[in-house]
Amino acid sequence: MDIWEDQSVEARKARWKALWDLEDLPRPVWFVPASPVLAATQMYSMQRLPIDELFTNREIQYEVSMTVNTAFEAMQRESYQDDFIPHLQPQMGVGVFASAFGCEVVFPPDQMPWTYPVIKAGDPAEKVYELEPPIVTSGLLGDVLDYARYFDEKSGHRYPIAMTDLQGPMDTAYLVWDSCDFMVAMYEHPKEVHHLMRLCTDLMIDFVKEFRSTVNEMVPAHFPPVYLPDGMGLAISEDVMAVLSPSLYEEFSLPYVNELSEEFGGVLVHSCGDFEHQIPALRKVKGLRGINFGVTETRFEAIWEAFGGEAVVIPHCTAEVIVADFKNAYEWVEYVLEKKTGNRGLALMVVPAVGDIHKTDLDIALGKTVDPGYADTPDFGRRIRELLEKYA
Amino acid sequence: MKGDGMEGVEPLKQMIKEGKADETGARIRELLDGGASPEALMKEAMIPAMEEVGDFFQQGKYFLPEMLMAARAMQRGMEVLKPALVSSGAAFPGKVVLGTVRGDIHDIGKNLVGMTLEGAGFEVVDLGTDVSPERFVEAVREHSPQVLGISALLTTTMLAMKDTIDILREAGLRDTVKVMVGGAAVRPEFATEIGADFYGPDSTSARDFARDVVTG
Repeated sequence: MDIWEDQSVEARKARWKALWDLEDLPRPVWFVPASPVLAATQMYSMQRLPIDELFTNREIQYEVSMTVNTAFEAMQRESYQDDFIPHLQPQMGVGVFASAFGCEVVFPPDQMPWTYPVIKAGDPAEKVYELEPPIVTSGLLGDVLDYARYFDEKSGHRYPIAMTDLQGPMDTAYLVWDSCDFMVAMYEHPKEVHHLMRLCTDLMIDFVKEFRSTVNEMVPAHFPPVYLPDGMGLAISEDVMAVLSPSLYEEFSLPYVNELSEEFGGVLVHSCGDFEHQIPALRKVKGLRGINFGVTETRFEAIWEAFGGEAVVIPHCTAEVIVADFKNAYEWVEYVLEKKTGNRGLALMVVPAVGDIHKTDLDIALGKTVDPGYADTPDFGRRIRELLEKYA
Repeated sequence: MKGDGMEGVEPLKQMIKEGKADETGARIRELLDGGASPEALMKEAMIPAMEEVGDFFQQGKYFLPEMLMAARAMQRGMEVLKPALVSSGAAFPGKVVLGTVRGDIHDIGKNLVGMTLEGAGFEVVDLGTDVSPERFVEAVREHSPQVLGISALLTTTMLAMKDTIDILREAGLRDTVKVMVGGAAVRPEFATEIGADFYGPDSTSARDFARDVVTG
């Protein structure tokens, strides 16, 4: 079997394995992302349908996820022929780990879930010592495990089960403690910040192990929705690093990221925003497995120069313009392919936004009918594959 | 300037830049007790210090925590200075009402704008997060600001900005106030489309816009 020609799940998994092993690839890995619940949320939102039950009702979340996967697999066959591995994922938003510390998570019908800090603005920093060290079923985490078990059994182990939204220790601490106070506390109450970081890290280690024992095949990556074999790392969101100085990041986050990395065989770090200034700090991550970022938010060239060929680099495109602007998927994909110096460790996450990205976002924000160009087009996969061949 | 009570102004600026809130408050108290003019403290120490902080942020020398530390020091200083400013008859350059839209509880961007405006001497009325369009309208009616600042982080909540401007118009207040909008997902085209007067990509541009409004 030529794993680069075959479209079976096994062949695609083998391609991902080659990517993570930093083999010299005949072409970059590429995938159209479909985190089932998040994809469904987007569709519901565009149609102004209530989304709260997608997050709070186990049966609905399962049924919708299976529908998304079925539709997506058809598009994979008919158009994309990409490397994505469909999965199921228990999803209750970014605040599930924070909820284990007592944070209230609200599920509005028209918004993604909200998380209220349990240490509120103006509270004394010493309040961190009153936090009960959570266990793996605290807050919403027990429900997450229940959903994971249910999805796995009900689907007959048809799909791998991806980790629930795992914001890293710092992103979680930032939800537990009023975000502005938390940042100031890095200067004024460093011991208390470390105390909370310790609690968050311990919880994550325990929870991921419990999640692993709950399902048949765990994919330890919540975002980006990659196929990351268990044992090859853990994906964490580290968005706070974009707004921290390198010295604060190294003092308050790096030690805990390294602990997770040692525990799970590496880390795949995601961040929004421009985090180019953190490249030296990220080079100190022991066992950095990969980096995911928006090419409009952090310069691809900078990330590629620092990590290309040494860790997996996963660019994607967002509508938030900080360092670059692209009109559609083809433009940014070609930009990245022109700049790459090889295929080793390169994976592109490509949303089929083939119309004008900004017009589409504007239309969505204004509640208008979305430009059909945003939707899947039959030749989208072919055009991306042609670009990959052109720059092979 | 010796003898005018302003001798300690340089250390005060340094305290603000370094985010030393308690020391800032204490120093301002000392300077006021020593005869310094409240207005001069504001114009010669606090505003320039925060301008420098804003520059550091733009240049990538300061990040969010450092900016927040400085802004808190400024706020602490203002708590001490404000009564003296009021009793001296000094006027704020202008008033801004700020809030994050209904359905959105993100507040860092909005807070930064508020702190930067306060650092520029503006009186800021912060309505907080998850603010309904009706509450914005009430606040405009109650406080008569020159500028209304509306923040939203999410694409899904941006539409509430349009609702707010629409209701402001229905209430007959649209022409009494300039509306600026901002937030990670907001773009200039959106601001134009919903009838806002200004899109601010960051806190310093919001401050500059507010300054332009009040200076005509």
